[in-house]
Amino acid sequence: MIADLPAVLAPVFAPGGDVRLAIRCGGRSLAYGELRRAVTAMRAELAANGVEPGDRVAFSMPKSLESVVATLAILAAGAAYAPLDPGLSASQVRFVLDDLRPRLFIATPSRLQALRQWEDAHAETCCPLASSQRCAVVDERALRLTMVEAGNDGDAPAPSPGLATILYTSGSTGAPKGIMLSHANVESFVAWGARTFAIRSSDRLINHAPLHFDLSIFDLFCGLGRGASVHLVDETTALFPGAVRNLVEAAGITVWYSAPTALARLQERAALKGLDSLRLILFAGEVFPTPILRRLMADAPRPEYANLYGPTETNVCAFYPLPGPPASDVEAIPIGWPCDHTEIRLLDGGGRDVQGGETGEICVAGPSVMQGYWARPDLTESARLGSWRADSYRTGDFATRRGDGALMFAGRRDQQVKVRGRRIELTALEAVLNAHPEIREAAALHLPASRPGGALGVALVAGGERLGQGAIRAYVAERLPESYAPDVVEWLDGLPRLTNGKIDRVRLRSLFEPMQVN
Amino acid sequence: MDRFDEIVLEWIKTVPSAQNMAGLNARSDLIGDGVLDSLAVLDLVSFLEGRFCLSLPVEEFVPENFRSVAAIADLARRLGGSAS
Repeated sequence: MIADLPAVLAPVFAPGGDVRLAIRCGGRSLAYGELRRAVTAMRAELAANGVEPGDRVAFSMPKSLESVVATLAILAAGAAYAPLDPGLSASQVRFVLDDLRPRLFIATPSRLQALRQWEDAHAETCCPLASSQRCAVVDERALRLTMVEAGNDGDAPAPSPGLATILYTSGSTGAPKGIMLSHANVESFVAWGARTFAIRSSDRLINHAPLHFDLSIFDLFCGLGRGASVHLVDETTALFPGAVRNLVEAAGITVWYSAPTALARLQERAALKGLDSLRLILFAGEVFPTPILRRLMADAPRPEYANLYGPTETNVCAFYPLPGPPASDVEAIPIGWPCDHTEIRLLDGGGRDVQGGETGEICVAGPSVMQGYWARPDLTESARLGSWRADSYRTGDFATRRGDGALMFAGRRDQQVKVRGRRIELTALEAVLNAHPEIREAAALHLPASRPGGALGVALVAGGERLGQGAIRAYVAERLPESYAPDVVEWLDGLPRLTNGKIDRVRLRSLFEPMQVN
Repeated sequence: MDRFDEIVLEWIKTVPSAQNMAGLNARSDLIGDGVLDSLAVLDLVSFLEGRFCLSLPVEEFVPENFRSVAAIADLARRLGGSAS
């Protein structure tokens, strides 16, 4: 038994159930007894290699049993885990390691080699990582660490006690930022999730989101915390709807939680049709286009559905259990009501609570709100609403209150743009386009460099016929102010996505304005 | 290499992540070597369905059928695609 086990791990180590399935990935699995032994052994390896309570340990690994064992072992060692996006380039990994200064960096051999090659090629501009950074490679398929470089303990990083994890943002709008979540943050969210969705030991949860995406906190800790099994969708499986369907069917998945994009890609191939083990489908991270959600609910009518809302900085802070399929394709899905551990205010530009159905910025406070951005007290301070509560966060998202009090998402601060002097709400344009029967997915973006005053571009994925620009403009002009009619229309086979499922707006913009990017 | 293989190989060569790959051929590992990301898979299926006049059923939309140019060409033939 491990002394001083964090509360979030205590149920995983509760006596009994040794032979019950805990984790499965690919063809490999661990029962609870095996998981406890693997975590205990890796924790001992971490401790033997200098990891102490309050430390940070970063890792870059594909989805695997090893990545979960490492996560739990780092927590068991009293340290915070920092899972890096496996899609990061070597230079981005280097940036995050320099920013975070973890006690240890764990990687697969190929990832560490890629980092070394990049460093060798940039030796004149950066010091070798080996001089200060302790590194380990994980023996793939062996659940063990192999130390390769001891690093330099004279340059030991300052501890950060109480942290459970540091999740780096994608950096699509500036340098990546590390979002610090404490054990108390994680515990309050996990307790809410397990209670609200009645997770039980007979459940089989999918883990579709990558580990660096906050959705995975629900899968891992609500699942393992209630003695359920967690089934990891590895990066290859996630690309192929037929493989995901096979996994759901073979494992008898009962609880699904992912970004809407993942569900939309499955729905496109009716991949969840007839799978009757599912009891609950949760989605978060983006607006789910209503027409696709309606088709999904027609394919899979049995599960309950809920829309979960919350940036990584707050984890889930509001949710909306759907009473049934939306009545029409133009009906927006609410983000619902605050979770019972959360308080939400909608504030106008002057910091006053909005009245009635007015639009205001969503400000959140409660025990799940982050400790701040790693090494960025300036950003942390500007993200707080200090006049309200110390544990508050200004999301930059806007919402209105419906008659029954349910919050309706109304776009992001950075999705309100000015084109030729007129204010455009990109989310509103996307919602209108998504409701068109011939359009499967839509993304709107401001193209500042395309012409004087900027232009309004839309990238569309066809659900049927590819309409001409004139037809698109006429359709939009019937439903929104004339200034919303797009100047440029591009048809694509799919929208570029980040590894967390969100639209990659940098890459998307490069399709419109290739000369302006890089 | 028959006509199916040639058409698929030509298309794969247009994928950005394939352009730096030396010696790309019909047996190259498209998944292990990271040629097919989520956007490329969508583009590819859209291309296959249009170019070969076929419809990909979900049970065939699995990694085994997309491991290599040869596997993709086999899939297109098996689904009754037309390379004309």
